[in-house]
Amino acid sequence: MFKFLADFLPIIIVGLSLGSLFGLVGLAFTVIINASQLVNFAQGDFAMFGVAVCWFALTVLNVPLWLAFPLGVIGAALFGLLTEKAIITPLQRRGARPFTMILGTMAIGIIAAGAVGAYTKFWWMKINPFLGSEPWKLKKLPIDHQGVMIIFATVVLVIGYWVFLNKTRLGLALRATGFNRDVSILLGIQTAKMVGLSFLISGVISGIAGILCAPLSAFNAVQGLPLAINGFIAVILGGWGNPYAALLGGITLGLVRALLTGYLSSAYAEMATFFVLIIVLTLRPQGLFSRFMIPESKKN
Amino acid sequence: MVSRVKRDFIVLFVVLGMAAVLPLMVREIYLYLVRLIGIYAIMALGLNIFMGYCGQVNIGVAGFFCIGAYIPTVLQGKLGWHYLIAFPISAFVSLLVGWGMSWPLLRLRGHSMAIGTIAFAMAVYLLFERFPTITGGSDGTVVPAMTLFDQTMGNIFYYYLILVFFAVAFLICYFLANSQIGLALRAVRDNEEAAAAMGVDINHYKRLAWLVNGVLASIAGSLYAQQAGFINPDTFALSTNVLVLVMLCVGGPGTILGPVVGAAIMTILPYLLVKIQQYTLLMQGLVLFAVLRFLPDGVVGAISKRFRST
Amino acid sequence: MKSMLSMRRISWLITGGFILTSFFVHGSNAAAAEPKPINIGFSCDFSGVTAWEGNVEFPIFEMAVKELNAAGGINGRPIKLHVLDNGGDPSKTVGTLKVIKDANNCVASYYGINSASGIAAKAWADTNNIPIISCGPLSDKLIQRKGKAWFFRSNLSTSVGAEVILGRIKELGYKRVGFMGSTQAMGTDCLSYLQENISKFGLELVGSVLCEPNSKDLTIQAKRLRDTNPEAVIYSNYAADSSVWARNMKTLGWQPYVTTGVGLGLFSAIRDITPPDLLEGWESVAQIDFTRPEIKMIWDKYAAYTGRRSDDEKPPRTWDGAHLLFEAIRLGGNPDDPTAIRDGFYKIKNFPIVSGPPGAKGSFEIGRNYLITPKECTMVVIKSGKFAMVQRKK
Repeated sequence: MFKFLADFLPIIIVGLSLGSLFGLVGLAFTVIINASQLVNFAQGDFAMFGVAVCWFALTVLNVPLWLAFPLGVIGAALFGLLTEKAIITPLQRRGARPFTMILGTMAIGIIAAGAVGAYTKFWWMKINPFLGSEPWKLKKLPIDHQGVMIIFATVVLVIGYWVFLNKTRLGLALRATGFNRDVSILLGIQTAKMVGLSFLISGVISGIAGILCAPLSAFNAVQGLPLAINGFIAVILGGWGNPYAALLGGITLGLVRALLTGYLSSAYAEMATFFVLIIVLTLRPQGLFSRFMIPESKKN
Repeated sequence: MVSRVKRDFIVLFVVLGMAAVLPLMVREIYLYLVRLIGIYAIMALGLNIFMGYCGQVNIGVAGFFCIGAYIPTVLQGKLGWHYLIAFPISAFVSLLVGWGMSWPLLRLRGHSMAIGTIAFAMAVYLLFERFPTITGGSDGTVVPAMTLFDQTMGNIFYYYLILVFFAVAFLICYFLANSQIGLALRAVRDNEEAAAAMGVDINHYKRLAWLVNGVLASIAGSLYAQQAGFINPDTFALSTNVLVLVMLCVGGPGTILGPVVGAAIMTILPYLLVKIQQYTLLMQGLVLFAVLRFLPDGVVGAISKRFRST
Repeated sequence: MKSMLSMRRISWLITGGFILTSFFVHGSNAAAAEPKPINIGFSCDFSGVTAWEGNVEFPIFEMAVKELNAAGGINGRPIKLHVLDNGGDPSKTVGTLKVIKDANNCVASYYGINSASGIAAKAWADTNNIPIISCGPLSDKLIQRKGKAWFFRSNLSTSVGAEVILGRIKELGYKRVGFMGSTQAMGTDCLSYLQENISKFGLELVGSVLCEPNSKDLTIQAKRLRDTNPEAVIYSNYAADSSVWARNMKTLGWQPYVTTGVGLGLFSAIRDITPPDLLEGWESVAQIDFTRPEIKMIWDKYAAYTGRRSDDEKPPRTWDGAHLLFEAIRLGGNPDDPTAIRDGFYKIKNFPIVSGPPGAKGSFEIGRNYLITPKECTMVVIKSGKFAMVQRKK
């Protein structure tokens, strides 16, 4: 029994922590989608930027971790806000096609990657594991604490987001904006500010996810777009527009990848991800968990 | 008054004529750049038909680029077939693959199509990387030089070959865009439901645009492989998809010259920045941002708008 | 109507203008004042995945050229470097080499680190008969076993490193060997060498796992390898994955002897991004002995020249590469003839190099177009987060 747990537990933690990364990015995607039907291709770069700020604070400014972490998160949030101000609002005012705005986010993402890359010379931004290198021992069972922290943070973030969305007035305004923008304007909700808020929240979530996962394997400047794609896949697998489904989609993706990589040749795991995506898009485009936790009013 | 078409042809001939005599005048590096511009322009022209005229989303051009590059290479290298046979075969394979992928991909809308095409491109790239015995894997593979009449072809030959294909691709896109088909494509782009109501077979036209996109990208790939002499999968990874997309946006989607101008700008830009190489990525992002923000119809679109209003 | 024509014209003018501007921006390689310079092309990756290596190599090479020119050049002729970025992309590499050859009439090209680009460069060099010296690619596909090569390396090849590792493992008394590597050439080449040759050392390859680049987690692979019960683990992978692997092994509580053939450059990269306590006791093949004063001198020179430090084998092996090139040009007799320069490489005998143990001498032979043989290899170990030379039984 112990042997079984010892074998299985690391796999679960790995799958869950990897999946949480994708799921959180997917959640961050969905925050923006829910507020404005926009797809943010700079999502991964939000996370990367958060990591960059945290790394910079840790290594160049020699700031302790408990200060660098929030700085990184704030950095990511501000970057999100900047994206919104620089590209979304101007384009929206002009009445541009949605795809143009998507491209605009991609441009901001490339700028971030290019800027961070130029500064770091595309080298890795190392962040040490928060609690040191020794794994925790639960009755002789080694547990990777970084992974546990990621899972814990995910749970907290999801609960926090749910509370915010459903129990606060601001959250209500946000939901209204996403549900029907024109009516919300009539009701006096400042939709532009709501969109900005959604980008801010999305930045916070991405930043936290990125910084927590950075100790697992170092981040470098150009990993933003691949991460965004994985988060996007999580959203599609899970269910469009449903943040909790996106999370589940991400966790599924993480678990499947971890298992395939571990037991099958890892050569095929990445390819499999894309084939699975195409299959899901063909057979069940609304996602695998689209009904998950959806209150009646949202089904439109 | 000379008709518009005749005028456009005159301009085209003048430019092609200039390009044809260029090798006698300039150094190799400029010919190299023009070859690259030609190849990327062909890809951007194809993408333009699908995205600019038909209004769909394709962030996976590199998938067809990859097929077009690898199949002639493998056929020449492993089976000894001649390039002139392998080249059309790869275009045909791309046609088949494009036709097959059109069923799942073209039903999607907007962002789903974006991620679907990305997935397609990544799957193709990974597929070619995973069979090192055939494709050389991540180490890449030498592209056998082409021989014609027992003579090994050199850079100048590839230059003219690319020029010819560019001219053909340009003419195809020009006539396509200005024809009934182009009209239908634009109808699909501007309002799908209205077009359907008017009797336009949406799926048929989307598929046509997708196939044109795919085959042109594949041809560009075959030319790229041959003139490069060596290919490896990394060239067909994510960044190429983004690069061609940027070229189209910068040049002007929905215009005829847009893709060409965009290809020219984005190819030359890194070489102008030779002194500050690590800023290339940043520059690409800034250019895209500037165009989207200030020149939404691209360089060509903005210029033509200015002149239309005078 | 008229305006439409202008629009088209202007669009073409702009395109043409770009091309023309490049004429002047790049300027011309004006004929130099007396004496006629020796043109050497330098194609390197300043951007792209291995850019962090390219950005170290170029300053060293440039320094060496400047020193040489200050001392009068070769037979009174200075060396002129023509630098191009190949972005770590093999197709671009070939493009830059073509430009170097046709545009600058350069007779020898130096090029960077990336194995795939190296293979492309070698293929081009063999067809176009231009000698190239390179300082970093590890792939065994770059070895020319028959006849004279056009592509030379001042570093070691994967099989050389593997041979040294196996000798070391045998020295330490281990028998069961496990392998962890990349799914790319760096891993698969090493694995095939091991599979073919390990029995010659009296050792046994009990298990092997390969992993994708940029894996975020390797716990499952680590478990699988651990279950085959190796005493020594050979590791052949890039820096980021090594960091993950080290962490995962620690989580599993598995601390075997680990050694890697990636050379000191990658090893320091690994140490830079991994908490050093995870790498305690890890060993690596290296081609330098940093107790030699020449090494410290080159490291300090690099730091003074660029304001950054790179205390690993990148500066020394680039230094060797540059000086071997100069010597080949000298011995070749005709700095304007690529074939003479290529033959010059083979004429190099007992040339003092900064790589290898004290007093090491470098040369190339038919069948060996890389500089470092097992004799010139050393091993380093990480103790308390710092590198130390391993004392080997001779």
